[in-house]
Amino acid sequence: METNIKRRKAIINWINKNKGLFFILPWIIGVAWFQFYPFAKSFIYSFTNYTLLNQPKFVGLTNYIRLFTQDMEFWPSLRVTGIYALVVVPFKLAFALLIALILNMKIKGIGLFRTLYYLPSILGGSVAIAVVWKILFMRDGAINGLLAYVGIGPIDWIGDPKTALLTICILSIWQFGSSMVLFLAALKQVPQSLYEAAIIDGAGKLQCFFKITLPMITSILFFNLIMQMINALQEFTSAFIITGGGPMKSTYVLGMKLYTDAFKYYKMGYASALSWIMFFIIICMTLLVFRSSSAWVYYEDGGDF
Amino acid sequence: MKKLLTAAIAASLTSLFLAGCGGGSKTGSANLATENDSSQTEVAKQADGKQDTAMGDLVTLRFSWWGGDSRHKATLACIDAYMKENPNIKIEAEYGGFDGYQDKISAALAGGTEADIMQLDQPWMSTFTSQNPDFFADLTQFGDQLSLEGFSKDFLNDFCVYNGKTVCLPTGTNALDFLVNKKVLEEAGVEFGNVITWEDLVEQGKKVNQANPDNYMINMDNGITFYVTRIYLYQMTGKQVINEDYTLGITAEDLEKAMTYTKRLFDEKVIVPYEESMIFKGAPQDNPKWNNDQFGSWLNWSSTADQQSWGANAETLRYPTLEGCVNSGVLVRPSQLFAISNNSKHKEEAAKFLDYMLNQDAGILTLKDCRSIPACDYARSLLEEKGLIYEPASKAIAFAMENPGTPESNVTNSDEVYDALASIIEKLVYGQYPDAKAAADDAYQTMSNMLETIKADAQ
Repeated sequence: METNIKRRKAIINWINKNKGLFFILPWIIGVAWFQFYPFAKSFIYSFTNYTLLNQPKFVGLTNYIRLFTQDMEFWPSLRVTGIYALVVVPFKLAFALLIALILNMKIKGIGLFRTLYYLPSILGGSVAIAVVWKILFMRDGAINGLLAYVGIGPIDWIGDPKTALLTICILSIWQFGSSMVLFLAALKQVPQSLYEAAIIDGAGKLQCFFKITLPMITSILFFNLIMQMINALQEFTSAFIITGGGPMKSTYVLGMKLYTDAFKYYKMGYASALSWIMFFIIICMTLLVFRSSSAWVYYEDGGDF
Repeated sequence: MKKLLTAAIAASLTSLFLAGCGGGSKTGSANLATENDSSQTEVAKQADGKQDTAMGDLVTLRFSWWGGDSRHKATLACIDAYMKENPNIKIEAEYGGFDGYQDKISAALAGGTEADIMQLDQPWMSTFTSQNPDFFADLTQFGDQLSLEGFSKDFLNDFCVYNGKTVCLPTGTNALDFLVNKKVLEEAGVEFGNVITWEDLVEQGKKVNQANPDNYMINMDNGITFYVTRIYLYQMTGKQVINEDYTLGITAEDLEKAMTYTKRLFDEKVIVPYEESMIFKGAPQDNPKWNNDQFGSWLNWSSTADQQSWGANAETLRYPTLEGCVNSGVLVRPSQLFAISNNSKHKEEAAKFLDYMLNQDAGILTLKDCRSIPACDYARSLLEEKGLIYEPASKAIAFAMENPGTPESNVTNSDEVYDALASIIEKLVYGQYPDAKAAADDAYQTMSNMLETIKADAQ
């Protein structure tokens, strides 16, 4: 009898202590079901010959070995993805910061401008944008029309393997809105007193930017860098809808290869292995950036949580 | 304005975190699927489940297909007419565009949630039926309820019989088609009546570009160029590119000859350069020049023959051939297929509806040629009689039927191997190989290696 009461008390105690868990239960179920389960499952599939319709059979490391040694598309595809990320991430961040600086000025109707500059990010990778992009960059398109005034071109932006990847990069850089909004918020957090003191000491605009603004927003810069890097390495949409990976696989990013292997050739197990390699690359890059952060990221609260 | 900004930040943060959580697996595909769902697919639910059981004999069938607007309209009209005639039948339509349809069907088959009646594409059938021979119902079991009389036995054997069972029926016939714009060709001085061999195609075809450097004889993207090489190979050797036993039916020398010819079409400016056509990949008819009378022709599937506004200037020609070849090599295949799920609870009712669409006057006349020229003889002659068929398309099929190429079988239709060949041809045309021999050797080696891997996996 007594032990029963004790046990009940213990249960009630436990519930009282961990009430919070129940409040976030919907989230836990969601993440477990929609994130962790597929995550684990794809890891298991990566060691099988799963084709979506068959009974998966265990094949050991075959998929991984094939990827690294036999697949003629893997290394070129990795290279394309790397170049894409190296071009897109710095330019996107620089562009976002530049626009954020401009939009941080106190002029009339600034709210409207902020909304307008955010629009491309909302339109994002939709099919309609892909069509617009094609029309802009085709042989008789608007871009070539403008270049003709300066005496350049016409350039086959998407048809030429040398410029196709660049065209995709420009689309991605153009969607700088989300980074910009974060930069804008960070800029507003920089105390005015710092600028006032610096100006009294005779600092110029450029000095103010490099000595005050930039160091003060490094935490957001760090966040943006991580997020944009992950996004860039996972790129799929723009390559898929604008170039389809061509010409000559010059825009065949890893995301595109993953999709083709999985949904065109039905090599689900193989595609799972590829996705785990992608995951590994992304994790490594992220950890590297994190390791470097102590050297260049400034937190007002000293970085403590 | 402040509120707007806050909302924007909130939205961007959410999307960033969601993107971050993706963790590298299955990028983008989910995005794509939802896009398709919201923009193109409408599920018309007209039946109420509870009513079903209450009335006892009310039967609900699900019917899924892909297509464009005209096909959707015609099919929905056909469903309405059928339901009016048979008040105890409810047909739920599930339709959308072609993009993503295959993924949806595969996923549904894997999960056992497929529609009772499905529109399928012929290249998928070998995969589906080899994974599970019992996905689809044998259509011969329905006797008079679904007549197979009107279909050519050979055609059914080639494309619809798997593991000894007739698991699908062709909705229409599709053949490769050589469609020309007479106005463009006459203006450039091309004697298109004399284009009989591949050599003629080069000699006559280059005149179009010579007359106007912006114009070309053939409008074609890199997806179709590959068929030129393939048909050339077939006419030359009379053999399949890939044999049933996972070996190559052709030699590196054969490949070299066919690739040399393909490259010539570009060098002599007969085909529009890839630099220009790449942007319209998959839809060469979107190039403004197509309707602007700046292209002389295309080699494409007959089901796309009506995608131009040339009016009376449109004319279908016989496909070019090699001198002395026995077989035209021109591919003829079903435009789409209809199949009935083996999981269906109402297979007989589904079969009756198929019969209505394929064999009965009312169904045929409502659907017309929305799924290409019907493969059923009776349906075709009925539509021809009433003048409801686009003539250049029916002419292309007539030409192809005179001397069709041997159809491809399961192994010979490997997407992966053909994609590899197509991308090597693409590189050759872009000038990445010193000559056609280097490209042919590379292609031969690559394809052999791939086939070995596929063979090892299949055993």
